[in-house]
Amino acid sequence: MRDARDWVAHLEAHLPLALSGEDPEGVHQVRVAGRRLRAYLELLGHRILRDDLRFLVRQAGRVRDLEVALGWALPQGVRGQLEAELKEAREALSGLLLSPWMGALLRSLRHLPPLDKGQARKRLKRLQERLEARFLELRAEPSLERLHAYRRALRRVRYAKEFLGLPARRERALQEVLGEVNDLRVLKDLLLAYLHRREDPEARSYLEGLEGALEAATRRALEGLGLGSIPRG
Amino acid sequence: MELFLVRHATALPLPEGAGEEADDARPLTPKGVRRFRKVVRGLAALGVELDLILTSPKRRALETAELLAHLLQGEVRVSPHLAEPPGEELLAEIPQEGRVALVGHEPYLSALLARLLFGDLLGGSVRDILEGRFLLKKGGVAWLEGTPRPGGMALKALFPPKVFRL
Repeated sequence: MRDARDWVAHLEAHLPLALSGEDPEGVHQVRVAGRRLRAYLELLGHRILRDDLRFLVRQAGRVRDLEVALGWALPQGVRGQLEAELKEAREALSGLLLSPWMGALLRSLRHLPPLDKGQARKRLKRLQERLEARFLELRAEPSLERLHAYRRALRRVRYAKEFLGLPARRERALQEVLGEVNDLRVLKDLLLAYLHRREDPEARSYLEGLEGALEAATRRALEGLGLGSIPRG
Repeated sequence: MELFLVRHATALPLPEGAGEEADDARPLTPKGVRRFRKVVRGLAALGVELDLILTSPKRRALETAELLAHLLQGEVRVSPHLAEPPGEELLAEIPQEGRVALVGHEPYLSALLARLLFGDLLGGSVRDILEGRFLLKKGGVAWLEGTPRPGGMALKALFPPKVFRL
């Protein structure tokens, strides 16, 4: 889909599913549409609506993180805790999606102007320069944080290219590899938060296994980028 | 805090018989853009900087907010309450501190202006008259100072856009 209107329709179409919570795809697609529309606004050179979309994506992010984490085989104690947190996060997100603000955001997005191709290509170049800068930072000092920053910059370039009808095969492939690292990183953070609140030997041992998996996934991602590994610290 | 009530710049007219959806979609005219750029330059010359812009979801307000964003240090947010008569929900959205601009429409902005200046101290008939006395031109700006509650603000300046074309 290369037209912003298609992504606004995509966002609206997935709101009922995101509200029902029946399928994790609902919230996921709301986030995807939100991020793609932010990329469109960057190509337009617009400052407006970007903060609103960032807010929407962040609020939906909490639900998404928990839904992805619950897709793993987790120790019972962790699962119970994350399910309770998901229920709370879903309630908060439903309040937001049903709010007058959400209605106003959709109303605003429905009338975005078309892209000026020449200007949009110049802005894409800036996004590519930013991606290159993130890559150099990552190469100079590999870390999970820098890998995450690179992944975000990569996603923006991919979405911007797709709006302009340019091939983005490499960006898509890299995003897949980096996505695995991100899922494990998020799960690790959730697990650490859980262990911060209670002692659970089963969860502690699960964390050790998870750290190994995260390290292996990070190594694969860095190799995919032609870089070495993250030093242990 | 400082509050700037900004009426959207000149937009394309609404085609006869068109509904709310068509009204939402009206963009600024090239002349409206040019003139409002001068308003923004004028405000910048007066040292105006903004921490937050709240805008109506209508396209002409969004495009005005986009031009105004040159003065912005913080966030822009869309507010449903700027496309309807001003009520408590809108007042609740305005922070108690900082420099905030509200981009919206008439007659709602002048009603809000009268309410922020005089509060509920006046009788209904006087309020109705006053609301008509503070009309904002397209691209016009009312600059207020104080606390964003009924009767809590003082008018610092009321600029018709042509002031900035001199």
